[in-house]
Amino acid sequence: MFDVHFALRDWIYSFSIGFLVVSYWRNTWTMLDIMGCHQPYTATLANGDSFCFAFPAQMDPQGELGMLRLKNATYSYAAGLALLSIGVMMMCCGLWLPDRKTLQVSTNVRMLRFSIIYLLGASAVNVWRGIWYWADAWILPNNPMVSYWMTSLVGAGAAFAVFCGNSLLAPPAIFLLDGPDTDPPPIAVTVLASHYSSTLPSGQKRPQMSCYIYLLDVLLSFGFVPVAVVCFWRGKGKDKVSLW
Amino acid sequence: MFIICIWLASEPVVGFVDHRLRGNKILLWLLGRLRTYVLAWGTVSLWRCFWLFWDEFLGGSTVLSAGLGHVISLFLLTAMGCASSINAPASTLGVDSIPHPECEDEPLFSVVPLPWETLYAFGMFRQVDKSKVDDTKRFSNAVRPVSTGNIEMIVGKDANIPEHVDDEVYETSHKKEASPMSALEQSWNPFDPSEANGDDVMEKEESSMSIVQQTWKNIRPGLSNTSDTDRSWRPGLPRSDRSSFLDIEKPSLRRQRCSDYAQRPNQDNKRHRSVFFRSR
Repeated sequence: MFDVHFALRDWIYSFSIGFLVVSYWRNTWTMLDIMGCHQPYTATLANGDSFCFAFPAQMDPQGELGMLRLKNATYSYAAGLALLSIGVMMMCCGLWLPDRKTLQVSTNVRMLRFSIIYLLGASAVNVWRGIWYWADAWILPNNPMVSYWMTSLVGAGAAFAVFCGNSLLAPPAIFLLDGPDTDPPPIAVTVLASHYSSTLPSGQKRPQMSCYIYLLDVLLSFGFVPVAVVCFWRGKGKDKVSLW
Repeated sequence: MFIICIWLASEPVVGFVDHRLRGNKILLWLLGRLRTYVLAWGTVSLWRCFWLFWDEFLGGSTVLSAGLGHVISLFLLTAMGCASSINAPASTLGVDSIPHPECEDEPLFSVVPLPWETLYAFGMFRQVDKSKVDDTKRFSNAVRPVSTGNIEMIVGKDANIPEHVDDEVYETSHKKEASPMSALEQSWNPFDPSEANGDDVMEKEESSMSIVQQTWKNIRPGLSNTSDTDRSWRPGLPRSDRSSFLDIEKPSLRRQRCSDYAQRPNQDNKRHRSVFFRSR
C-alpha cells in the first residue's frame, strides 16, 4: 500500500528545508539592502520598495535611487565573485575531503566545511543581487513587463541550451545534502566537471582537453549560467509589475 | 501554483508517464525539460510566498529580523544536514547528464519530495559513511594491536577502531556518529543489525568474518565493525521496493541502481557515452 506516513514526512521535511533556504536568502539579501541602500524597515516586496527601492528606482532609472542601485549591483557582483573565487580555491585544494588514509574528518576539516558552505552561499546571494539589479537597470528599464517576459524566457532557454536546466531549480524542488560521504556535495563545480562526474564510471579519468575548453567551461559555469538563471527568476519573481 | 507544479512534476506522476513512454527518447527528453520548467515556475512562486511571509509577519526589513533569520535558518539547515542547499549558480550547478545509457529513460531527478531518511543530522560534521567506501579498501592485510579494557586483540587496520577503547566513550561516540534524522524516531534499535538488515544478511556477514572479528563482535554486540552499523543507516531500508500506487519499480530505486552501476569500474574499458545530457 502507498505509505502515507512516509510521504507526509517527506513533504514536511521538503517544505521545511525550502522555507529555511528562502529564509537564509531573503534575510541575507535584506541585510545587504539595509547596509548598501539604507532601505527602511518598512520596505516590503508587496510595497515595491524592498530590493533596494526596486519600484521607485524603476520609475526613474537615472535618478538618485537608480544610480544607488547600480552602484550596489557592481559592488555586490564583485564581492560575489571574490567570495566565489575563495570558495572554489578551497574546494580545489581538497579542504572538504577527509583524511585520505584513515577517512577521518578532523575538527579543522569540519570548520573548513562550514566555512566553504557559508562563503559560497554568501557568494551566490551577492552574485544574484548584482545581476538582478543590473538587469533591472539595463534590460528595457522603460518597459518592465516586456523586460520580465523576455528575461524569463531567454534565461530559461539559455540555461537549457547549455544543458543546465536543473540550475533553474531551488529548494524545495532540488536539494544538496551535506554528507556524510567521501565526496563533497556538488558545489563550486563547472559544467564539464559535473557532467563527467555523473557519466564516467568510478575511477575513470576525464579526457584531457585543450585549456581553451577549460577556460570556456569556467566562463560558462561561473558567468553565463548564473546570468541565465537570475534572468529567469527575475522575470518570474518581480512584484508590483509582475507576470502574476 | 507550487503545489500544482510539484504534483505535476512529482516522482509518481512522472514515473507513470515515463513508464508509458519508455522507448520514445525524444518525447522523454522533452518531457524532462518540461518537468524542469514546471518545477522552476512553481519554485519561484513558492519563494515569493515565503519571501512575502517574512516581509509581512516576521519583522519586515529590520536588522534584527534579518540577522536572526539569517543565523537561525543557517543553523537549522546545518542541523538537518542540508546547508549546502543554500547554494545557487554560480556556487553550484544543476547539469543535465545521463548517469548511464541504461538509465536514459529515467526521470531527470526524483528529489521531489526529498526522502527524509537521506538526511543526516549535522551531516557535514560527521565521519565518512564507510558503507559507501569500496569493500576492497575496507580491510587490509596489515593489522595493529588494539587495547580494549583488559582484552588485547588484533584487528584489521581499517576497521576504524581507536587505539585505546574506553567502553562508554566508544559507545557514546559511535552512537553519535551513526545517528541520522531517522534515529530520532527510535523506530527500531539501530544497534541490532538483525532488525535492520534481516537475519539472512547477518548470516552472510558472520560467515565472511575472521575469527578476530567474530570475537570483537561477541564483545560488542552490534558494533563489531563499522560496516554493520553504517549499513543499517543506508537510505531506503524501511521503504518497500515498489510503488504499489503505480505497480512499477520506484524511479528512485532505478536511479540508484543505475548510479551504482555507473560507480562500478568500467569492465569493458569503454567510456559511457551519453546521448543527451541529464541531471545527476
